[in-house]
Amino acid sequence: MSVLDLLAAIRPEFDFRASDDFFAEGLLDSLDLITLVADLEKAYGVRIDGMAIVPENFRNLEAIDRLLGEAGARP
Amino acid sequence: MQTNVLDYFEHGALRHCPDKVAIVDGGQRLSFAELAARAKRCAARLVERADLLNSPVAVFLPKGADVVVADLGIAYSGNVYMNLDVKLPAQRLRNILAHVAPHLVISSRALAAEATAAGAQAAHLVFIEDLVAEPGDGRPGFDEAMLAARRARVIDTDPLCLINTSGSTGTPKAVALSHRGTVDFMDWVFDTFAFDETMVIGSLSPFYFDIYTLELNACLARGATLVVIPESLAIFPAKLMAFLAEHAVSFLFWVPSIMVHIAKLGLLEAVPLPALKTVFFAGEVFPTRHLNHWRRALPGAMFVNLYGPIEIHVDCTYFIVDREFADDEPLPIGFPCRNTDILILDEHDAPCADGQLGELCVRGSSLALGYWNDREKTAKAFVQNPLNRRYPEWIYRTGDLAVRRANGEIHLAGRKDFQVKHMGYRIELPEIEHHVIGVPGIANACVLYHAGKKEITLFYEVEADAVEPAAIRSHLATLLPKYMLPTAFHPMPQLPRNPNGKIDRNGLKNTLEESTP
Repeated sequence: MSVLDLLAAIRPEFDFRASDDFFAEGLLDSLDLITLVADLEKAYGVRIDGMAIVPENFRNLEAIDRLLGEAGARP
Repeated sequence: MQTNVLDYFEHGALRHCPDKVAIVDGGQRLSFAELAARAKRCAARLVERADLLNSPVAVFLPKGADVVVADLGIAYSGNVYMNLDVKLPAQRLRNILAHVAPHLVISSRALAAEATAAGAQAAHLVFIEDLVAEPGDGRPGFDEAMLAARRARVIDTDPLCLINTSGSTGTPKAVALSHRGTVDFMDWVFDTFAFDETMVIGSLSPFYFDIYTLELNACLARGATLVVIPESLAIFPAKLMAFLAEHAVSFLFWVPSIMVHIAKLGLLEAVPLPALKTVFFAGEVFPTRHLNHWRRALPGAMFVNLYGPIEIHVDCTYFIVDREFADDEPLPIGFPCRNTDILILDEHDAPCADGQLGELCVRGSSLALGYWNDREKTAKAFVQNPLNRRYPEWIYRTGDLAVRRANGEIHLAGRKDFQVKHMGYRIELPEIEHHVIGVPGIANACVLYHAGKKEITLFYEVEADAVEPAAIRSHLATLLPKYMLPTAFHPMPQLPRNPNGKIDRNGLKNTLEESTP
């Protein structure tokens, strides 16, 4: 599953490609972020460090891709 | 004896430490004296607008110092505050306002459009900016004697505030809480725990929750400082932890979900919290594995599990965590707070023996006054104590199932009905079903909660064409708060039925639990 698919499963009503800041624009909240981190860890076989769960790493698709790359994701 | 929660303030922080910081809210710091001056100006202007007593006033403001000012202003005016969640869908707010019928709604100019959309009529809408503004002539803007006289007209059993909670028939219920119940609970807290002016409270819970009652009164009575945690931080646990460390927060009263999340992310090791001395938690079960983690990380801190539905003033049982619990060993809700008695009744309303499962019922001054403007629901939940036939005495039937062990410790064991706790919020699943059935194209629905995955799961039957989950969520988002929206969707050609034709909830529940580990 792509990051986009995971996001769409969490919030089917939003178009995540059209947003540059998921939090500022209200696409994701704290409940969603908890789900997203768990889903990403499962789908990509990575462990996301607690200190890495900051806005800069989850703001948009690009940021999440970068974070996954740094965490050594194997899609 | 004290009759009004404002006596806490007048004889507590305001007398002993008027210049100490009462509230930290972003860049804003209010001392107790400033808080009192604003609240009293607010009260005086509320009285000018409407000379009423014991009448509800809604507060439609985002969490922050202004809400505290408004609540105290309403209390000083002799009236009843009702804090609203400004993020609720407009339709739900309209239902609440129509049902409670507050005589005024306090909002701000910035939120005026939202308040109006939520059904606040111009004639009832007042702005906090105007209520707290200084008269500019050097005078205080309120008459202390007039406010004291109004305070004297409010007796202890009069309502202090209203808190809204999910109702199974589609409309929230407004629970009316009194000065007496609040004072009784807080006096017990102050006699049991060391609350003083060195306390720094890290306030994460919304002000429309009852946790706020404890946080606020600890400040008013004991001079504790309330630090409002910015909502944006709650999303990012690492930032949240850094905030607690930076503000040297010493007391938390949180729901376990976020604490579990912090423990799982390894943040307790990454961010030390040497100032944190006392942690209260309530609202849902704290898995002992994660509680153990917290206790190991903060060996000097006291952890207290509290339990109590909103129909009780804050909480009615407590358990000071005094030992290590095995992973997944259930944590007791403990023992009754002062002036509270816990009855565990069987299906014939007879008291259960130790170890026997029954419904947890509460008696004592901790009971709420009832549901505002709803005698019928009040009469169903607040009933005559079946063990007392001599004089009228109410008990509150919580609907929670519980067991009392031989050592007196009480343990929760599920629900009698379809109410669940999700992320600390209390939700009546039939309320969600009621609104799902209103979605165009849906014939029938059953909502279940997967406790392991913390998912609100919707099973639904369509009339003809498929209905997409996105369409259902979009529709429900206009009626229900975010935390009540289903996150898992199972369309079915037909929902399974019992022999008597009712939807087979147990069958669906088994399917749900078997399909996912």
